[in-house]
Amino acid sequence: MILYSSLILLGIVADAWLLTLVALRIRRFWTKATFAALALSFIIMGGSYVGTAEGFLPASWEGVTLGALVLAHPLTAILVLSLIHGEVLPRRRPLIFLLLVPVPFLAALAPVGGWSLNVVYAANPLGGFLVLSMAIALAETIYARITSPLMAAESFWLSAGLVALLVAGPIYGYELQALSFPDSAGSNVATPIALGAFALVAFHGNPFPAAYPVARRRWRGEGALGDGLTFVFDETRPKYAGVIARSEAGRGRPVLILSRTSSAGTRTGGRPLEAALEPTRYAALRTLGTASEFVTRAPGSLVAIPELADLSAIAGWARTRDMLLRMRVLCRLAGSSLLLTTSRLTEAEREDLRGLKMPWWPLPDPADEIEAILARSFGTGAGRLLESFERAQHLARGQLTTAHVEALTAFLEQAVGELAVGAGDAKAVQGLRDQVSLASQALRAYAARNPADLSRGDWPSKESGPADREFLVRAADYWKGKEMEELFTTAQALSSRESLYDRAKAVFTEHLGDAGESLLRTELTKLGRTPADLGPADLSRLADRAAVDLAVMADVVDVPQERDRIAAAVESIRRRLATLGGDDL
Amino acid sequence: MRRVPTHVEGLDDVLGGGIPAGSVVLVAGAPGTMKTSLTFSILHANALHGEKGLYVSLEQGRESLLDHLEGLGLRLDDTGGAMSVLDLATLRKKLPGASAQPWMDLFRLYTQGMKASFDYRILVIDSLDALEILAKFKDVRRELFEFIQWLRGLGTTTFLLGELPTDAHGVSEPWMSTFAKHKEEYLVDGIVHLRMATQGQFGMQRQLRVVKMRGTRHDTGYHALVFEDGFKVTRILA
Repeated sequence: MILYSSLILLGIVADAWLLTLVALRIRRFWTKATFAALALSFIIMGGSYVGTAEGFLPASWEGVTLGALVLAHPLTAILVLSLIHGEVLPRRRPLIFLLLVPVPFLAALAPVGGWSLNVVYAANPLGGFLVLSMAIALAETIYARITSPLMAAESFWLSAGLVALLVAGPIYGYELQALSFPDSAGSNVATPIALGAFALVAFHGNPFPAAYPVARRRWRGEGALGDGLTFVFDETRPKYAGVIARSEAGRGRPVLILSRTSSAGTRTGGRPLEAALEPTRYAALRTLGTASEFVTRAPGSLVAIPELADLSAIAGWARTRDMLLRMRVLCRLAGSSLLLTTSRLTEAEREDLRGLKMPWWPLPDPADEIEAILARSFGTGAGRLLESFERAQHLARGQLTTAHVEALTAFLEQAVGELAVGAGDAKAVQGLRDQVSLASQALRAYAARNPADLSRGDWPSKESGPADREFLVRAADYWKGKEMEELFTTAQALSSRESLYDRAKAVFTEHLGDAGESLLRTELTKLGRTPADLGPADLSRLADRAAVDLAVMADVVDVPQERDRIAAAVESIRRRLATLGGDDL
Repeated sequence: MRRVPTHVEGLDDVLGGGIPAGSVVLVAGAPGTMKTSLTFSILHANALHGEKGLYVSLEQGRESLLDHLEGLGLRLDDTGGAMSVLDLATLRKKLPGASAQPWMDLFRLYTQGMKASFDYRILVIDSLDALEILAKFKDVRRELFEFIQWLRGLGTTTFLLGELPTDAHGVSEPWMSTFAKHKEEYLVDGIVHLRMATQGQFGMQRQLRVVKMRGTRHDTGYHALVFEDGFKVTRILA
């Protein structure tokens, strides 16, 4: 008995270690709670068994061992079910209740029925319940293995844990009975193996780091996206997804944005919570876990995955699709909304997604629509105006969204204002001013349209404009094209008032003080450039080289916080220069 | 007036309790007079008492400097992070285009940044001569005046190490009471002169003299500077 007791004691130590690990590292409350309950049952079961077997505890403690053993069976089933259906199970508490209800009755009836630890798996109601609990867990695991690409690998580990429990529990018990050693039955040496396997699956589905909100009541405000539904924004760049997420957060709705470029930070009022998709083998499972944890804590919320294509590239489409199906169920149960975009999905993935019959909203690229609106007033010069604005705002091609409309109208008004100062023909300038005013109104009206409205397809770029073109010819005739050209030139001058060198110098001096300009000049010399001929194409190289050369500035400091500050400044210089060069960081 | 103790046996008595906090003190002497060791020792002892200090080395690399001072029993690790060595000597070697860099601006960038993040109270600049060469002063007196004013603005007690020439016998003597090349002695708040003096026919002795210390009644004579398990300043015995 000493050997068996020693094994059980070792198992208790391992169980306690696993419990601590899961309690400290797992971010899902429900998983942590069920794991803790099961681990504690195992620890109590093992401890009381060893105590009574070795004579440290009175024989009455066998009741405690029996109670813990009985409780551990439905808890095993609940934990396995929660690891497979973790996102849904907390919403189906009655099922869990059904599994736990028999436990006190069976424990109370045990003395009457003569069900002791020696015959715990015999053909009686108690044995039947225990076998049924394990069978539910095992059957669900096998079903997940067959039907779910997302859970296929995980179900192997779950099965391994369950089989270990079965071998060291009922099967070992039957063997002891067959060999006429029934007194040795009553505990399970495989509990650390089972808990280890369950913990592994819990870690594979652990949510990404983020400042998750505390549990709250369901949000019941009026959102732009309906509750309990999954929306797909069919757009080339995920611009409207970002706009709608911020807009919903502004209304007070809890919003989670999951993307590769997010940084896990603290969530502030009116801003979405962001979580970064980490490129791991379990990215899809962890994404599901992240959304699950957020939605469970904040029912009625919005979860946005604007870069679904990234997840598909990391985890594979089959897993991503399975994850979406599970997430759809989760959102329906929690009254939350799920927002996806088709940006950068392959045609096959896009078609497959369309086959899932989710609300599908085709949306335009705001950059194209803004250019189309400007073209109505300024003809082919719209492209030049937009280019000047993007340069003035240090925007890379394609970054333009409806959020820039106010800045664009201000830019146009400034250009007309500057033109009015120098131009002689006041009537012509007033005409231009009216034209800018009309364009501004149209831009604002477009920016105010919500995605649901736009998804009907009546976009500015699709509107036929023969009447506009006629009007444009008349305007150009009236002004003889001269003032229109002057407007474009003024806009270009506005954007190029600061040279690229001046902007790069501003970045260096902002971070490095007076030493910045000289360090920039040194880097330019190494690149073989002068301040006058520094071009946008040079900035990426300048950014990378400066980052490498200036890294030594942090190396010579031995105070960690100062070293980190200098390293952060150097990295900030690199990013700002790359942005000036038009790289989408 | 708050004073910064040097924790050098005998020297604090000479100084009337220490150096007035916020002073800029020139420590001048010929090579081998232990300017680096003495100032490092003052910084080290204050760090052991919880007063943070920054040693800026413009000539000697960090490893070499720490090796040399560990030989004297002055270990940086003992200070528990209350002392920092800024290795601008290594930066000179590694930074591209080092000769063309604005070293005075870089020096200010580091010392101000460190003041914000590390909040040191004592600063040692080793040496003023190296900084002058790197910074390529055009109008030396004016730029030195501005530099010393800037140092006062830092709010630290600052030691500037200045090199003096050695005569043919290895003995340094101030030329006509001059302890600096560009009349810095008029700008700084204090001057400590270190020299090697002959003792008898063959002997040499390190000696220290507090030439000037604003706000302090101090002994103006030379004293022996001895290193025996730490620095000591004693009377010169004939």
